[in-house]
This record gives sequence, structure tokens and C-alpha cells, in this order.
Amino acid sequence: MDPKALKDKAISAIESAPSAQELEEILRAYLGKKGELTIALKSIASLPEPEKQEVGKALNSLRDTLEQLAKNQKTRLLKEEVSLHEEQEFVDMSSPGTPAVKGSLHPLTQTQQKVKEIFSSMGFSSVTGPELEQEWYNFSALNVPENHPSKDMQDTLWLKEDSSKKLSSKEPLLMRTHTSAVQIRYMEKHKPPFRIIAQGRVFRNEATDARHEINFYQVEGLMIDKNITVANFRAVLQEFFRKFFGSDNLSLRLRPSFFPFTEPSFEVDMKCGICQGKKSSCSTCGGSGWLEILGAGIVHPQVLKNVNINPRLWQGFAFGMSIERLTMMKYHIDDIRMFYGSDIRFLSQFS
Amino acid sequence: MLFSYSLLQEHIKEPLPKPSALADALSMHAFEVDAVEKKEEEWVLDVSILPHRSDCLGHRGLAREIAAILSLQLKSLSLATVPSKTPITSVCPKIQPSLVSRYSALSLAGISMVSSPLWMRKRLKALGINAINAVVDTTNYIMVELGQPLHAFDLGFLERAPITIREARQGEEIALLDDQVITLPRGAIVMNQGGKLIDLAGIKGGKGSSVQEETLSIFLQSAVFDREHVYRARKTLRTTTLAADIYAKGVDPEGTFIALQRALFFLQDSFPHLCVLGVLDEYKNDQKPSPISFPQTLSEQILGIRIPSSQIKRILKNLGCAIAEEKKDHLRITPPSWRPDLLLPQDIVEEVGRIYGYEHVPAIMPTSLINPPDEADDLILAREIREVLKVLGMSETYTYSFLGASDPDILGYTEEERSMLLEIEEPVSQEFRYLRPTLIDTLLKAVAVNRLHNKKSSLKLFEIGSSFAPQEKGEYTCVIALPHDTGSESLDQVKGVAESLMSSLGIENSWIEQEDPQSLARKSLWHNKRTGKICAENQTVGIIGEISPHILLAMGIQGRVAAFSVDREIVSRMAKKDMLYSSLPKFPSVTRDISLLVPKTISVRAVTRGIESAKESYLTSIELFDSYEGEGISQGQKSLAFHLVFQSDERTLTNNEVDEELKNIVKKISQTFHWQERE
Repeated sequence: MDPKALKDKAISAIESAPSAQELEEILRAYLGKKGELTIALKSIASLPEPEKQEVGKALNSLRDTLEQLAKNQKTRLLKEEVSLHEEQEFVDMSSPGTPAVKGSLHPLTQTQQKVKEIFSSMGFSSVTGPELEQEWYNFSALNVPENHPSKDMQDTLWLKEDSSKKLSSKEPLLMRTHTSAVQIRYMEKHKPPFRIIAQGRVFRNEATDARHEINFYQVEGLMIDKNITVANFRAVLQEFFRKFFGSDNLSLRLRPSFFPFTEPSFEVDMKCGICQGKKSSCSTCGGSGWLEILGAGIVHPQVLKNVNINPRLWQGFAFGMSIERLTMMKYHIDDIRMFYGSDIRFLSQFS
Repeated sequence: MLFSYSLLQEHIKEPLPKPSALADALSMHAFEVDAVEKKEEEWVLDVSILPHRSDCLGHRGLAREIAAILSLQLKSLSLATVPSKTPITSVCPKIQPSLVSRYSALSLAGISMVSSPLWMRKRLKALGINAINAVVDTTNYIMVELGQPLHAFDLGFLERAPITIREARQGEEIALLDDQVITLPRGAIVMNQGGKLIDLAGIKGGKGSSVQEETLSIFLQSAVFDREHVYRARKTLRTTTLAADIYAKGVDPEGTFIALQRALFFLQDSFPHLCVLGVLDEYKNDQKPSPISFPQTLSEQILGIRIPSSQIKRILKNLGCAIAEEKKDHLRITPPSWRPDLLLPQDIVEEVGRIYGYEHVPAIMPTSLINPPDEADDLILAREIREVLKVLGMSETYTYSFLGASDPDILGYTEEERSMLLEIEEPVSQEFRYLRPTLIDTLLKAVAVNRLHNKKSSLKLFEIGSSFAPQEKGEYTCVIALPHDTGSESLDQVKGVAESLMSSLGIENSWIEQEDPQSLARKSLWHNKRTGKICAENQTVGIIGEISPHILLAMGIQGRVAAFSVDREIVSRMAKKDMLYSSLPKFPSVTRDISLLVPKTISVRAVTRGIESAKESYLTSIELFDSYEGEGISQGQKSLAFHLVFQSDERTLTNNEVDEELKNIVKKISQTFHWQERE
């Protein structure tokens, strides 16, 4: 075989290969196990000595040349093919994507999380307590008198007598009416000073409507230290609302109220964020310009005594606030029953 | 309680601010005013009198409060005088002193059942009280004006036989003014005449003893019945009147006789020939308020603002307190008889603070040291679990803590399961009769509700909350409901979520074991053949499975529903607080697939453990990738296909080494368990 003729033929074949795939075949026809060049290389052995060296050198060089050429040719062909292919791959970008699996967290969870973060930044620890409570923690220790209408301020869900017995309780058990019960449980076990919040589910035996639910969530706050005043309470609350609603333009007012476990006691109103108190027909605040948002006060000395804390040395504030109320204000939800309806059309809005 | 603006004005010398401004002042300094409305040409304020302030359950009391807030003067009350030589009444009830702290009465002749004056009728109407006749209207008027309930008896009726005021015995009956006969609880205060009960004292008049059409002389009672007795009776009877509400909160015993004199003042107007036949006033007088030693600095210590001493004294004086200087900066304060709620120096601070105005209290951040705050472990864990479940595509929901009266039927409860339910005493609605023993019950109700909106909705819900079965227990619960599932897609997905959750919490090597629902507390909830326990560290962490098809049928839920619920306590004990990094393998692994023919009844877990028991040096992981039964597999058998991964820490394994170990494993399980490799 004449190396020159072989070279010309092979180069011409490689250069005219129409596709990368055909190039592979052409290459195999020369360089494969039974390829022309491979056979030619094998046949060198039978040649006489001077010729053997010369042809061998030529053929080996040819192999290198072909391989290099094929490599370049392949790169070129692949690029051409990719370009051609790309042009044929039009996709309508306005058509929707494959939906990703997306879960959601309940708005009341999101509010509680935010409440926790804000109070944590002011040094408040988060604690918990049971929903099924004893009278002591829910009422007696909180200075709520027996046989007095102030105990009726919160309609209580009591367990039937035989149900309480199932839990080996001699006295009737109840569903806690407020998270204040957690205050007592915490103070029994800890020494002041402390700053805590307790968030959780509470219960009232009330007919349900757009503003009332049989169960709802509360955040209870308690700060006991030396010389804690109403002015301190106002500052802590103001800071909370400022962060929660993301507004520096917040105004709070304290009004007198009554809770057996605080003295003095207040209701706290927040200036209506919707109408700023300027619209008499505002549906959020009913035109009053103010939204009642929480109950609070300075912890009653008897409550501290009940948990063996000396009220002459320690003093502080406590407050209780509805998580639903905060959430409704934040997301402009107008019916509390949405929170317990499990309607996926509602829940999935909070993903 | 409703208050007439013009009647309030009658008690105050200076002109009052406009009704809306008055309402604002009351709201900011005393009581919330719920509404200001014009009724019967009268401005009426609906005021929420706080439960410890029974002194303001009458116009005179509220006027006194308004005067203190606005620094106005209270007018003196026009009273009739009872002639000093008036004899004792012919009727002298025998009274148990523990039930009645003061009992005042007048016997009056010269009355008849004519109408009361128009102005009185109008005013009562505006306050929501129907006019009846001059006598009854006057008693009602005195009650709303002075907060002292009065009752007019027919004098002749009472004179028939001696009268005792005593506690009712359990089950005694009484016929009331409105003709109903009720059975009394023990301890209600009653008037007994010759073995017959004639009055339910402090709550409602008795039939016969009260004034009649033909009554010409009356016994006008102004008494203070024991607060707690009235409170309990009213609560048990679940019946109330304005008088009972007032008594249940407490009445000032100093006011009984004044109320009679005031009534007499009005009655003389209606009846020119009115004659006072007799008078009675039995007063125990043992409820004198004790003086309070009040350090003046306390108001600053509590409120955080300095209120001048002169202001403090003025405020307390306006509220009716007697003030004396005790020692330096200490006042000795004696509250008035109508303020038995003032007991502690803190109570005085509240009075001073609210009248002075809380708007003067500035916001001052506490300057005390902050201890770094903690978060309860349960809360941290719940937060992590929520994040994991959300990423896995689950939507969080909150359901009620209750089951309705008919839910146990729908949810297939057996008698035994019912017996664990905790029941609420007198729930406001039958929808809230029982406490849920598992969150799965209420989540199933959530599925059913959603299917009402959309028959085809696929639901993936989770809830974190407490259940009561009967002990209170924290649960993390997931439910997946796929409407078109005819196989086990819901169950497979729920298993996947449970497994991901366990591993995300660092609970390694958890597994699911078949379970007979009959051995579970909530047995009827589960599918007989598709229920399991989630286990880890040889403990049951939770229950997983498909919901019983009977329950789905009863609830009208299409497709299949699968759920799991894990126990908060156990998870919280097992969850790893810290994850440790394990170094990546230095050498490549080799994977071989193997299909085994095993009896249909044997669990995947048993087979996996079988393979594991046969391993030698290099097998590091066994993963099921296919399970098949049917054509090509003999009856009673199934084929399980696994990826087996081999790995060494020291070098790259050769094919020979891997093949050798695989061969030995196959041989060993074939000998031990008689599982054959499928060709």
C-alpha cells in the first residue's frame, strides 16, 4: 500500500464527513482493529529492512495526523450539530412550570414565631404549660375569688366530674382560660428576676362568631424584677408593636380595667392602623380610632405571695394578648373562624 | 349597664360635658363605654361597670365617679324624712344575721296601683325597664338611681303569720311572681311564712306576697343580702334579674335607709295621703372598711411618674376617702363604705393613677440586666418539625380541640373507645362536647370539609397540638388524602414523610412495623391490614397507617387517606440536638442488585434484616427498589429487588471481592431463610 495514496484518501474522507457519527465510522475504517491503516501497520513486519523503517515512520506519522485531524473535525461537526439542534428547541417561555411541592405554615404559627423573636430580642424566654389545668393554676393562685362575678369574666370549660376522675383528679379539671396559668407554674419553679412569654391555646365556653372562638391562642408576658413600673411596661409593649407591625408611627393608650391578678390593671388600645382614627365609618376600629389589643397590669402582690416571692422586693408587669387579634390585624383577616376551618384555600395563602 | 345622661346630670351641680365627651372621659378613667345612643329623647350610655365596682351599679355611684374624674361637685340628694316617733313595723322578719347584713323597711299605707309619673315611666323605658305601677316603678327607679334593690310586699299578706328569712333546703319549691314554680338549690335566701316560701330574696319576688292590683298598704324592703349566697343561687338557678346582679357583686349597707327615704320622697308625690305606719332597721354594722397605710412614694414606684402629693390627696378625697397624715410621706386612707374593694396600698395607686390619667405615663425601657433568653425544648423541636414538614409539601392547619356529640359515631368509636373520652360539662354547643383523643380525628374532619369545596382536592395537612386520651399528650400529626388513590399512594407518601421527618430529626435507624389495630387505643380508626408502628431505639414513637375504609365511607371521603402521629415526649427525648459530620468515603463504592423470591407474608424489614445478618466485610447499605408479585412469580411469593452497596475504607474494592461477598450472602440467606435469588 502506498502511504501517500492512503493519506490522501483518508484525509479527503475525514474532511468530507457530514456528521460526527459518520466521522466515527470513517475513522474506524482506517484506525479500527480491521482498519486500512491498522492492517498496513501490521504488514510492515513483512517488509525488507530499509523499506520497513521508512514505511513504518510514514504510517505512524499518518496515524498521528489522522487522529489530530479527526479530533478537530469532530469538534467542528459537534459545534455545528449543537447549533442546529438549539435552533430547533423552541419552548414557549410563557407556559407555566412544573409546580414545585410547596407546604405552608399556619398564620397563627407565623405570628407566634414573630412574637417569640421580638420578645426574645428584649430578653424574654419562651416557656409552655398544659392546656388541661387545675383550678389552682388557672384561678386560685391568680387571686381570682371564689363565688365572685369576676370569676365569670371568663366562661370556663370544666370537665365532667367522671372525666376528671379518669385523670385521677379529685377536684374538677378545666381547660385553661388564659395563659396566665403558665405564669404560676413558672414562678413556682424559678426565682426572680425573670422575663418570660408563654404562648398557647386557651379556651372559653362562648358561642362562636366572627370575633369569638371556643379555642384561641394567647401570648402571656411576665417581667419581674426590682422597680419595674407601668412606664417600663409601656416601653416594652411599644417596642413590641413597633417591630411587629413594622411601623414607627404607633400610638398606644392605657385604660383602666380589672383583673384579679394585677393591680393596677389596664386595657391597652392601639391607634387604628387602617384609618389612623380619621374615619368614622372604619370597619376595623368601628370608627373609634382605637383597637383594643391586650389586657395587662402590675402583678398583684397576693399573686407573688402565692408563689413565695416577696412582693416587697420584687415587682413587675404581666400582660395577655390574643394571637388571633394580632394576626387578623396584620393580614387583614376579618373572621376568626378562618383560623380553625382548615380550608386549604386559606392555608395555602401562607406558604 | 344603661345610664341616663339626664339622670346623671341631676346628681351633679355643674353642667356635664356632651354625652360623647363624657363617654370618653369614663372610658379613659373608669369604665369602658360600649355605646352612646338617644332613646326616648334621652341620651343613654351603655357602660361596662367592672365586676369589683358594684358601687357604680346605680346613677348616683357613677355620678360620684364622674365628679371625681372631672373635678365636679355632687348635688345632695332630696330625701323624705321618716317621723322620729314612727313605731316599729308590724312585720318583723326573724333574720339569720349571716344572710342579711342590714335589713331596713317601711310599712306604708295610703297607696294604690296607679301609674307612676310620666317622667319616671319615660326614664325607665329609656333604661330598658317596663313601667308597671307607681309602687313597682319607684322601687325600680331607686334601684337604677342608687344601686339599692328594693322590694314592695303586700303588707296585709305579710301580717298573716310570722316570717323567717333563712337558707333554702335542697329541693324546696317556690312559686314566683311570674307564675313559674322553681326548685331551689340549698343556700338560696328565702322568706318563709308558716312553712310556705313566699319570696326568693334578692333575686325575684314570690307570687302572692308581692304587691297586687288591690294592695293598699305595702311593706317596702331595703335589704343587703349576703353577696355569696345570692351569687351561688343565681348561678345554680341560671336565672337573673338586675337586683340579683347587683346583690351578687355587693351592696353598700350604708345606703339602705337612704334608699327608703328617697323612695318615700317620690311616693309622696304620687300619693298625697301616704302614711308611714312603721319602720325597721336591723344593722349588723360589721363591715367597716379598714384604713390603709399608704406610702406616697408607692405611686411613683409603681407607675413610674411622680404625682404631686396635693393631687394624690385631692383625687382620693374626691373618691370619698378620708385622709390623715400618718408619718412622713405616709397617708392613712380610710375608704368609703361603698368601696370595699380598696384594701391594699396598690389599690390606692390604681385609683390615683387612673384618675390622674395613664396618658401621663411615659415609655421608659427597663434598665435592669438581661439574662440571655431561653426557649423551651418543645418549642424548638416543634419549630424544626414545622420547617421539615413544610419543605416536604405539607400544609399546617389548626383544628378544634374538640369532637362534637355525633363525631364518635361517624368516626366509628366502639364502646371501649368512647369510655376514654373526656367530656365537657355543659359546653356552649354540642359541637364541643368531647376533647379529641387524637389529632387525626379532627384532621379527618378537616379533609371532609375541604372535599365539600372541591371533591378532587388532594390534601397534605399537618398539625402540632395536644390531644387527650385521656392524658394530655403532645402530637405531631400528618394526614395525606388523595382522592384518586386506589392503591397505596397515600400510604406510601405518608411513609415517606414520616421517614424523612425521623431522619431530619436525627432519629437514625427508625423503622415501621406491622401492627394489628386491635391492640391500639384508637383501634377503629385504622385499616386492619395497613397499620404500623413507627419504632426507633426499641420504642414505639408513633402510629402510621391508612384510615379505616369504614370511616372514609361514613365520612363520604373518596379515595384513600393515610396518616401518622408521633408522640412529642418520645420524639423530644430521641431527637439529636447536635448532628456530627461523618467523613466522606475515600474510595469508590460498588453497587450490585439482587432480587429475592420470598414468601408474600414476610415483611421488607425482615428480609432487609436477613440480608444484613448475612453480610461479611464490605456491605454498607441495603435499599429496596422494587417489589413485585403476580405473573411469573409463583403463588404465595413475591420478588423483592435491592441495591446492595459495598465499600471499604482502605482501598478500592475489586469486582472479585464484591462478587465473592455477594455470593456468600446469597448462599447464607438461602440456607438460613430459604430465600432464593430470582434468575
